[in-house]
Amino acid sequence: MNSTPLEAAQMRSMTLDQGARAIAIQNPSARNSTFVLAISSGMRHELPGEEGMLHLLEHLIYQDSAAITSSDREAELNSVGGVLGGHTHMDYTEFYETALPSDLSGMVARVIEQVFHPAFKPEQINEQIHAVCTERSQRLAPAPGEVLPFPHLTCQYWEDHAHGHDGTGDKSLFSRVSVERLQDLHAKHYRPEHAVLVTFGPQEPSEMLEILAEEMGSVSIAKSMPKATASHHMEARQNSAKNQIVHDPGLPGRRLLAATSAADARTINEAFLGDLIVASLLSMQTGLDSSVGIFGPADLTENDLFILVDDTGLDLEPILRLRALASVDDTILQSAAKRALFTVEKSVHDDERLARTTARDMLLRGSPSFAHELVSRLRLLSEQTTRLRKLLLGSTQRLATQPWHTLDVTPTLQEDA
Amino acid sequence: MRSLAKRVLTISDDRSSFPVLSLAWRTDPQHEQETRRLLTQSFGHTDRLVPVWHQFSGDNGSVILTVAAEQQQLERWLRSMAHESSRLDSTLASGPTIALVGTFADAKNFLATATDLFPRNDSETAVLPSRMQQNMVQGYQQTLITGQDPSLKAGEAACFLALCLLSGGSSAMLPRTVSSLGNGATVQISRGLVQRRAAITWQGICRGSGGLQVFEMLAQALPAQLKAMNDAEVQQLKHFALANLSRAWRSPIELAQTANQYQIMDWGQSLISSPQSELDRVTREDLDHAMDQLLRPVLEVLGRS
Repeated sequence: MNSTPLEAAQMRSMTLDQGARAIAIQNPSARNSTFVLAISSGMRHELPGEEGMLHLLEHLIYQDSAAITSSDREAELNSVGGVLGGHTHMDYTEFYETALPSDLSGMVARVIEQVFHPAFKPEQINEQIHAVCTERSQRLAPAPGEVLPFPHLTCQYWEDHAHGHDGTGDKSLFSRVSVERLQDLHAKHYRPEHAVLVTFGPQEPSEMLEILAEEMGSVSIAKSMPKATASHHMEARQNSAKNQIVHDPGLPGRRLLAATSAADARTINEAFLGDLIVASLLSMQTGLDSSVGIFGPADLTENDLFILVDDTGLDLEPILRLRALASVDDTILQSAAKRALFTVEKSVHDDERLARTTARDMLLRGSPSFAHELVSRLRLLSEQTTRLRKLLLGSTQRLATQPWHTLDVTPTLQEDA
Repeated sequence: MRSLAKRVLTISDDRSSFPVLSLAWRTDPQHEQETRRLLTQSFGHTDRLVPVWHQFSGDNGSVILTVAAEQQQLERWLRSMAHESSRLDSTLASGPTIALVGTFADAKNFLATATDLFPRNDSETAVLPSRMQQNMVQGYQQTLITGQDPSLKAGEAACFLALCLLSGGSSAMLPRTVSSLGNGATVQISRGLVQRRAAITWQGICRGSGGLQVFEMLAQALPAQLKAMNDAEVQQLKHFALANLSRAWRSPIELAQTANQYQIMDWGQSLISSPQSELDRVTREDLDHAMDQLLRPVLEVLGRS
């Protein structure tokens, strides 16, 4: 087997016969193993009329497949004490299982089979449309006014379809979805050459790569299917409507959601590092929460949003809050840098998340060790106050001069600005 | 791994640059919210710049505060938290158990300091008596049987295995046995704190008034089914239990939180720190004994002990 050692010492990768990238990460002291299969299609790749269908596809991957019923598959995983997860992101979709290292082969076989050979039974499609709707409403229910940065602020911010549609899925799926349509969508997006497979565990990387190669060898996919076009490569367009007010008389207080363009996160650059520090500083203030990225730092490589959620009830523009950061003292600045470091570090010090982050970074950046490198850069930075201040000033100035979109969730009736 | 007087635990782990410290207070389910509110207040009065991350968690009568911070500042923060939380009424919550996960120079001294900072204020208490409550709602009878958690007496690993056998996974013995009754009954077993003592609760719901008959049947059927298991099935059960316990090792945060939860609940922190060896030591006799002890509150309220 020809595999390539990657930058991180315990990582090896190879390209499998069908074009999928395979990565094995070894930690000899790990108590668990994780297998991740990620596909380079997400909500941004949905064309008009397909809204919510990639999320629905993700759900249907967990239903019956060609070889096994969903209940038998669940029983199989339960019997070994394993756990699973699946998420549809803007630019990719991931499926993963974690169990004891001795169960790695079973995990790999199970996930590969279900991802590439779903059965698409009509009754299960209907059930899962209900499940998608329930998931959406349960996610929104605890939020003031049932409004969240995703999808409400993103839909307001962007005008183009790829960025600005709500891909969570709603009841309109009942009238738009058919077995054939889902089969076509699956054939278009769920292809081995669009997949990254990552295993993590105490085993030798070569041993893990052999398991991946063997199990992927059993996948039969028609070679004539057209490749998916990346719809989000269209130019992103910002909406002209900058501010919206949502009235909800039952709210205890006002919440302001604000967004502006986040720094490009394809590589580790000064603006991206600066944005991480700014978000960390804002989040240290009572009543404020801020993040770089709609789904967290580095989850998108481009056209991501810098988010501020303001529950203070004070009528203070995001721009004024940014300008105020220029005067923070060194102790607070260093503390913010360490918080930013820990936020990013969580994506690599957690074994399961390390596997998922590696798959994401390989798909989106072609660099499986991006998150590790980001941690190293932030660790160095957290001790360099002068550099931190320079990054802070650079990002606050850039963010303050960019257009902001706001969503004002308010208990009182106010005149629209 | 070292432990001091069963109240503090340290696990060496080099995955994070920041040690993760977990403090767990023992209270009652009815005082949990108030305890959490007061501890949140106490936390708010400490130096907020020190922890780079924190989270309150816990349920079933425990409140757990987990923080990540730089090692050099952790002791100062801990002193501050000890001072702020010292006003917590000792009738509301006990002094906390402590778990530390990370690479920590001189962890032994740090934990000795931590033990001094948080004096133990929960005296040894008597065994929790077995009790039963029943009520009827819309034709369904609910039966709650509560008693002492037998983990300390019957062995923490053996009890965990017995609980996995009863409720874990897709072939769990309890729902399978209850459904074979065919009267729409459901029975669950759970663990938590009652009057700050480790307790188990059997909760049964059935149509009509046959709650006690359901438990009569279970008290006979469950030990018999356990005895009928072959060695391969017991090994499979241990594999399932090991997977569940090992999951805590996914991240330093999860490890600190779970180890401390097992510590405060008297479920055995060594089950988290050394699950394989703990489970390996359990014999068939241990497992039989643990099942009998889990059923003890049921037998006592049925007048069979």
